Amino acid sequence: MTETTSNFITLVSNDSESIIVEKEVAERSMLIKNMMEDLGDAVLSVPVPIPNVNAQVLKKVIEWCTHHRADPATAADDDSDSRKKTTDIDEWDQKFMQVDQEMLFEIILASNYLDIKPLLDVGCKTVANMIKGKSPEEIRKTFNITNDFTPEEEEQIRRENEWAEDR
Amino acid sequence: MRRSRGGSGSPFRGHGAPIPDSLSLIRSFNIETNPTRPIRPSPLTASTIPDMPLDLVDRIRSFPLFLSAPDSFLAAVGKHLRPQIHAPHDHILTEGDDAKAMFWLVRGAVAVTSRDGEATYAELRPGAFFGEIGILMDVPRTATIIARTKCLLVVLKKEDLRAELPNFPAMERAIMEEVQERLTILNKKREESGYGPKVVLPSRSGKLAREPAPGEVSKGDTGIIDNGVVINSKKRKSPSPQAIEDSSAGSALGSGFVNVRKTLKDLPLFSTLPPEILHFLGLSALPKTYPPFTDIIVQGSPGNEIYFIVRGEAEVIREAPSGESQHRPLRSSYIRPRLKQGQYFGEVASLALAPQRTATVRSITTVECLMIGGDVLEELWYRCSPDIRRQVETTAKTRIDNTDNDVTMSDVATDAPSIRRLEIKEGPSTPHSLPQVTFTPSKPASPHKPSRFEDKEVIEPMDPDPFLSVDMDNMRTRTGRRGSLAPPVPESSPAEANGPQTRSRSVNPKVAHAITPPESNFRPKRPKILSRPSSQRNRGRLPEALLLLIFSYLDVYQLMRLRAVSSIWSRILSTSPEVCCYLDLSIFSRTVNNKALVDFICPFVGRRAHTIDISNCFHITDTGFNALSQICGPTVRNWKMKSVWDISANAVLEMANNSKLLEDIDLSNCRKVSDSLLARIVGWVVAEPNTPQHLRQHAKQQHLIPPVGTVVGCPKLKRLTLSYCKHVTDRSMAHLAVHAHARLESIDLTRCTTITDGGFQHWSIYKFSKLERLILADCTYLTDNAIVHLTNAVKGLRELDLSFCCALSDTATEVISLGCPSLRSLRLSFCGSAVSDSSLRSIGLHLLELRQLSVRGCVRVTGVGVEAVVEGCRDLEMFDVSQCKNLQRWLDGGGEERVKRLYRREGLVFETRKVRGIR
Repeated sequence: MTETTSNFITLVSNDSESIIVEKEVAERSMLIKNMMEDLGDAVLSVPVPIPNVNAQVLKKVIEWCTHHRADPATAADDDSDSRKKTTDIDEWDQKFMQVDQEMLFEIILASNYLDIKPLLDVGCKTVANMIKGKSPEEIRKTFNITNDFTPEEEEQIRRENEWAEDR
Repeated sequence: MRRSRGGSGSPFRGHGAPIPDSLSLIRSFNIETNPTRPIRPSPLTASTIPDMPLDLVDRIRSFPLFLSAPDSFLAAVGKHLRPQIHAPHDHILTEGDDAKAMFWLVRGAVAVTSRDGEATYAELRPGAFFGEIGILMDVPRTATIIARTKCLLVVLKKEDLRAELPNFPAMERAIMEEVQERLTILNKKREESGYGPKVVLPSRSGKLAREPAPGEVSKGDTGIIDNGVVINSKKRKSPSPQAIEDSSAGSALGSGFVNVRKTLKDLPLFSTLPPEILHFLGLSALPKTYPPFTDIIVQGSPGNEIYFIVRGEAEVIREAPSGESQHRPLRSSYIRPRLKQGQYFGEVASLALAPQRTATVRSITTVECLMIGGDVLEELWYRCSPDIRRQVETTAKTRIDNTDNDVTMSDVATDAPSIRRLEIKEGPSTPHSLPQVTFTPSKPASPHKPSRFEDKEVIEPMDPDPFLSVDMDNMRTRTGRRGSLAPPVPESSPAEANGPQTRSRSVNPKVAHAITPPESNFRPKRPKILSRPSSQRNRGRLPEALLLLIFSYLDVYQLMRLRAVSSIWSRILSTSPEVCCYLDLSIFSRTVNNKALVDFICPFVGRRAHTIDISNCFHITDTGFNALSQICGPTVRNWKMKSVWDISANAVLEMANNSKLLEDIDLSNCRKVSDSLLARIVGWVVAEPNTPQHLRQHAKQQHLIPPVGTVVGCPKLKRLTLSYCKHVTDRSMAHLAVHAHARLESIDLTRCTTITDGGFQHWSIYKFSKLERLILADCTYLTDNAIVHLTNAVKGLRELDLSFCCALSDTATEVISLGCPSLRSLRLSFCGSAVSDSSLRSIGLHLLELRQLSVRGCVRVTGVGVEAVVEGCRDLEMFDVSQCKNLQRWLDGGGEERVKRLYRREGLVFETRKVRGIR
């Protein structure tokens, strides 16, 4: 096996499209990275099926991985609840996440499956920011949820939140 | 006099020597040498004179004016002394009130504060006196005095003093002269500063003249009290470090000017002068104050005044005869002779030994001088013995002879405490190490002048304070004899409830427990959500794990609101332990109130929060806070409550009891935080029951002493933020040292101005092995001694902030360099007297881990020092040299780029200019 081939890996989406990516880029996914560590270089010669992700989403995810290929490894999430979680998103990621909601959820699901924590975080932050500005009804629509509350129950919850509403 | 015979059967007669006058008993009985002296005498030890406890005599004498008073006078005054007891937080004096009496502090501690009680200028210990300005000068009170602990005072009423004075003409004269001198200085001060009306001199008739405009007086008077020190502090809103030394020097409000005579007498040169000449000098001396790094006299200029340094430090800069370059070559500029309190300069030109000033004298700290003009000096030489003039001339000649090297004053230079000499002293450092080498008086000091030792003893009796809470007292003892005493009983024991401090206790466990309702009361108003079969459809498009991740980015308001989306969401939001771990209410600080907390937020959050931040939530009072701590407390690790100052100490204590997992607490700017509260939060472990007697008694009475090993407080607490907690004193420092030295990682004491060197002294015998971050910004009272203690205790410090610690000297910086080699961040902003080129060199030599260094606003920094740091500290990333006005030349000359190139420090960023944001 030559050096040149060992630097690339072929991923196959669930709609059977093959995408060739650099090893370094693919390794942003802990799933692929662990797999390569387990199986050794053998994995580089065969296409790797990614059953849960379609080609469009996979390309999008690879785009993100390519841009963030040189990011330092995220520090082990030590005591994450003691830190305040910020919803600030860096500029490139914000642009990257300007996609329709369908795609956004797909990216989140894909990054969850592929175990790309930073991308998952960006996705969740984006959704969190989206939620902040929406009424419960709009959120239901976004998340495809039907309302199973009575108007009284809804009103009760609304009243419990009045304390923060005049700010 | 009759009273004093009461003790004819006194055992002290047994000394053998016949006692001619019963009053001399007072003198002959020396507490120090009495073999039968109890180890810890009662404050009111019975003496041979009824109503006149023994150490009271000492205390009264500590008042400078009474130093030389005859015993009969003291006895006469003593007849009028009355004890007075104050509870903690009592206002003993209020600024602006009429002065009716003066006070000596026998037990307890009081604070000298501003009128509103917020700014503390000084804390006084037993032995200090205050209120004397009012009764001597007949002006309204010039400061507010608040009792810190329960205190015992003795009071001398103005009319009583007035009534006695006619019987003692000598004392009356002395007091009148003193008043006259003070008023003269005050008036000159006012002329200098250009405000305030002239104060009418009191007539000799004995009736003190009254200042006509009382409104002005308090202001002007502050000027005398602290004489520039306070004026200075008004700008910085904190008292200058010297004020603390003053308290140890004996006077409450004090400075040297509280007694001009004593100030003059303390100058070694004048110690032998007769009183009338001192009086003459006192009336003609001109007080001058110079800000740091100001030229007081300039080499080559004419002038015939002599300056006596009363306070502060100055350096002598003698430029090379060629006089071409301002900046002298590297090495020699490192050692400049220093002049300190008690030394004088300007005599060479004044004695006409040189046509003009032979050197420049520049202030290092704020320097206060007494300036004596040429004409006054002529008169002085004429009036007094030729010895004095000879002494001055000798000094002058030696100084001239050595113009080329500065060795003359090496005695002065070495007087700055070297690292080795900074031994651990009891109590705050007093400026007793006056450099006297040059001026050793040719005659022995006149007999009535007290030796420094006595002086100190009288002024600072280091007796333990019985009014401290028992645990504090205990703890204090422990610092001396480690482990030999049981630690304080825990809060849950009501033992101390019987203690003398009951009323003062900011924390009352009984009350605290009484308000603990059963928890079930607090989950009432939850909307009833019917349990319905959860349809897969309603789960939405994301799995629960991902929803939780999204929820983790939302604040509590959003989370509560989202419950309205669906019953599944509501269930997840209300029950998942991963939701609402970080409860940040500070973003709702303007709207969140008790009702919202009690009714909605607390029931929703439950025991899920790991961090609670209620900073600045000013609507929250104890009601809401208690609910929060009871319902959410048990799981909380980080608790931030900056500026929530209405919360009572009881409530905070209850919170600490609920939150046993607490690791990090931020009590910044919480006014109710006191030593005892802090001690209970930090906690301790109940140890061996070799209980001291008084504790055992308590135990019997209270039938309850917690078993050995009981943990009190928050045993995991390791990060403390106490900035702006002005009621935290050295007692807390002692507690931290004894009970938390092994676990503390970070302490922020920004602007805890009540903490002094004494606090760090408690630290010095413990190893704070985990402490990495220590913020002491604005702790203006700390001196080099504190730093020495600190470096003994904390070796592994990574981050240290000493900004605005103006009382530190170069020694402090050197001690830090040697003692804390792992420092990565060091802030010495505006520590003008601690940062010089030589101390920067020691940083460059020893602090090799340093990443960030700030010497912002340090006027003595020049290119030499900066280059030394850059050369030594290889990993330096940020170097703040902004507002270093003597570095400008170097910066303008491209020094920054040059030094980066020279030492290949591409990553180094110089902060050179900043908008003047801070003060």
